[in-house]
Amino acid sequence: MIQEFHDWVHNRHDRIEEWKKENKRKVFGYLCCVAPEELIHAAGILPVKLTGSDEPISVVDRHVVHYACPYVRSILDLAGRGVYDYLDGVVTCNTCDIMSRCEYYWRVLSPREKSTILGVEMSPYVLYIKHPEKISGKGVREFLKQEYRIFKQHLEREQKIIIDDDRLSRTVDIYNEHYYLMEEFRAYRKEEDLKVSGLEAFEVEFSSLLMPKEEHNRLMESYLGELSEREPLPDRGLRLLLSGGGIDQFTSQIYRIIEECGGQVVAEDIGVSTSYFCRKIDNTKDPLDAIVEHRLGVHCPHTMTEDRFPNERFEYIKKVLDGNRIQGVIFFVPLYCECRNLEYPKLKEDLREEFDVPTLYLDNDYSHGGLEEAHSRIEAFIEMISG
Amino acid sequence: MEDKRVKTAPSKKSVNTAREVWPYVKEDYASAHRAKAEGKPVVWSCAIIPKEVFWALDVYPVFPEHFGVISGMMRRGGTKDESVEKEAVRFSRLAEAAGFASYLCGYARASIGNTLTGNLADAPLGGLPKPDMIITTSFVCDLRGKWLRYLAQKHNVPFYILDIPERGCDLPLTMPGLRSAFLPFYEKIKRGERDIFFSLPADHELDYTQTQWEECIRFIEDVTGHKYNQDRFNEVMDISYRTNEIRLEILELRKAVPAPMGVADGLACMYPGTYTMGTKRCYEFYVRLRDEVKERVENGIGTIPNERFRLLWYGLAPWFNMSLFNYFEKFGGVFVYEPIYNLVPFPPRMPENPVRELAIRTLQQSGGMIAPTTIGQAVSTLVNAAREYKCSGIVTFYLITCRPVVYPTVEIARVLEEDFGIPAVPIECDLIDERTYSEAQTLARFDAFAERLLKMEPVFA
Ligand code: SF4
Repeated sequence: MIQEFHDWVHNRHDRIEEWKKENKRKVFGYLCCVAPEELIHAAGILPVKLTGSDEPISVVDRHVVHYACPYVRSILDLAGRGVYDYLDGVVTCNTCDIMSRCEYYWRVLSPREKSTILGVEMSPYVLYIKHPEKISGKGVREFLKQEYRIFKQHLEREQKIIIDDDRLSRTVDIYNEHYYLMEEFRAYRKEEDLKVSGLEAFEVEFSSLLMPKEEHNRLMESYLGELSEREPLPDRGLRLLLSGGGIDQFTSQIYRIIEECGGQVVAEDIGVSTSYFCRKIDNTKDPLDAIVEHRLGVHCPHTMTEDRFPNERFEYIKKVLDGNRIQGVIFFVPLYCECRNLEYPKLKEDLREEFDVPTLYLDNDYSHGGLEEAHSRIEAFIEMISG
Repeated sequence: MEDKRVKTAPSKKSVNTAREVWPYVKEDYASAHRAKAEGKPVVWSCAIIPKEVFWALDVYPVFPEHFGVISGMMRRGGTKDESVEKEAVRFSRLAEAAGFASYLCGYARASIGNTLTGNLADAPLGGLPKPDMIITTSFVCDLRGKWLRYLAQKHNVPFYILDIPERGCDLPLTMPGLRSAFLPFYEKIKRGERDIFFSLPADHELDYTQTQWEECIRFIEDVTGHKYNQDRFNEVMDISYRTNEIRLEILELRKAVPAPMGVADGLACMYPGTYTMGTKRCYEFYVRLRDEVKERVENGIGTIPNERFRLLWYGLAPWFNMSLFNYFEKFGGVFVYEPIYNLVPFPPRMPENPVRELAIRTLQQSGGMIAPTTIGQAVSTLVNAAREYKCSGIVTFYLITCRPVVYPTVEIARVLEEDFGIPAVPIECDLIDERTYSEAQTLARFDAFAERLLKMEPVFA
């Protein structure tokens, strides 16, 4: 089973293209985990998370500065090289300074003519959603709901269908099943006698962003069955939390490196997928309202709240720590990621004061060299904790 | 980061009114401290937030960004001894030691480092008085939200963030596809059509922004006990409106050949409008400035005697070494215009609903040229500016520590050069941390650029 997840992660382009051909359906890529996947799904389109690659950069320098997130630069380079040409649409949200500019970059790097009526493109190739930075407080739900209505309208024109509440509710059920399964899965990672390595867990979770959710749900059911029978890992390692960004099939090597150094990632604060935020969609509400609420529940480092004495990211990380008996936290932060870097010094202080948990900060420059360098620092960190 | 001292100097101003700015700044810092001593609530805020609400609610605003500027210009104790590092460098080291990356904006590192010393007053002009609250915005850069939140946590004061929709481009989204039909923007400008800087925002954007302002007012009321008064607010909004009109007149006058007021003057004169807009003092400053610039135009007085080429400046300022803005003068080159800090027209006054008016203005600026969110918009703004100000070259500030400023630089340079024949040269560093600056590299590039421009026919003569 794990082989199937692994294959989707490492052969994603081929698998997605095959799926597209076989099913004669469209595929939309999205850049950030807050993108309302559910609406894309309800439109009958496969939503897939866009990721970078370890191949050398070749075209992006002509358009994008060096002083930008290397992970996003890599994704854009793939776009510029035509690797993502199989996509029928691209969704970008305002989830950081570079993400909000990707609408432009994508159009310039991977131009796509779409038919227009009276000069108006009815269903644009690249769609931008103004995701609020402040995820709580007056007016925010109405605002995002309107953004989603507009987005939904684009999808309806693309697919020539109406995405009514029934369609949305069916999608909500499928997604809730996914969230439920992932929560069940996560419980295994809390056990003292670990049965799943961090890397395996990552691939299980990450593959759900690349394949149809229905299929992932089906695979998960059998996988969870297998897991219940499985023997614990021979070498459990030091229990660590991984906090970071730009983690995909390439940089997830950090999990392997941590394992080689005697650690084991048992929980994450890595964005990547909404399932990490452990929230279900409220299926007793109007489905669009429920999706809005669900997406506003993503506490990534870009988000802020209406709290007058804010410490919401630490509060969120506390929840992730809960029941995990974490012995150390590794921050693996994309180079130039201001949102993550700016919250680090306070989180470090808070983790030390409240839990006496040590932290290690590593820059993720999205390169093989960077990962190699991380090795010795992780080794020293784990040695330090193990005394 | 490498430890080195670089040769830096302030710029030479041409316009007399620009010399009033430094005393104006000093007076502001002094009066902020007086206000604090008298018990007036002090708010730490940011440059991009319109200030009218603060004046109307009688709180005193001060600005960590501007604190960064003066730390980049001054050394400890006000010494001119070049062997002493600038205060921005001292503070940045402290912030970096606490875990803040050296790729963060120098403004943030400077104010964080200053806070971490535990002695705010050991800083240029006595530093900023301790805050009673902190108000920032999500708009322009990610950094200002998280940076000011950290300062609020450290000073343990209430915090408010004004969330402004980051408009992907400046066209209303109410009609599906409308936006993409207009891309790429510069296609229109290439045909000689003027691009639209801003348009009326969509209703939900406006409603949300208005709510954010109303909540901001409520926040200040709660923290201070002061009450919002619409008449008082309208008075302040009136002054702002009139001030902006004068500032727009100045921008028009600055198009003249020879350039009556260059970028060195422009960047000095941004202070009153950026930080004290809505006050009578600010209004009067720009009236004096307008009168002087007008007189210079009428008498044909330029920044330099024989203009041979005119330059556009893109980006914020390397405050630690403003003399760079005079560098091209020896070649007959003059920096004529900088879009940054210069506002677009304000929406008409709406005295019956001034908060709505402020929301419209905030959103128009967010789509305007002051801080373009989209690259396409930045490019079109610069193309229009080159045309209007008759510039034959552009110097782009490859501001390595400011994402919104650095992102468009490559595209601006590429499009201006390839599509319009306007060459560009970059200068690469932080805005106040002089450790990031290489004089040899910068001046070699500038020299080669000047040679090239001198051989070229002006593009927009
Ligand atoms: S200089 Fe750039 S990064 Fe710094 S506060 Fe201003 S816009 Fe933000």
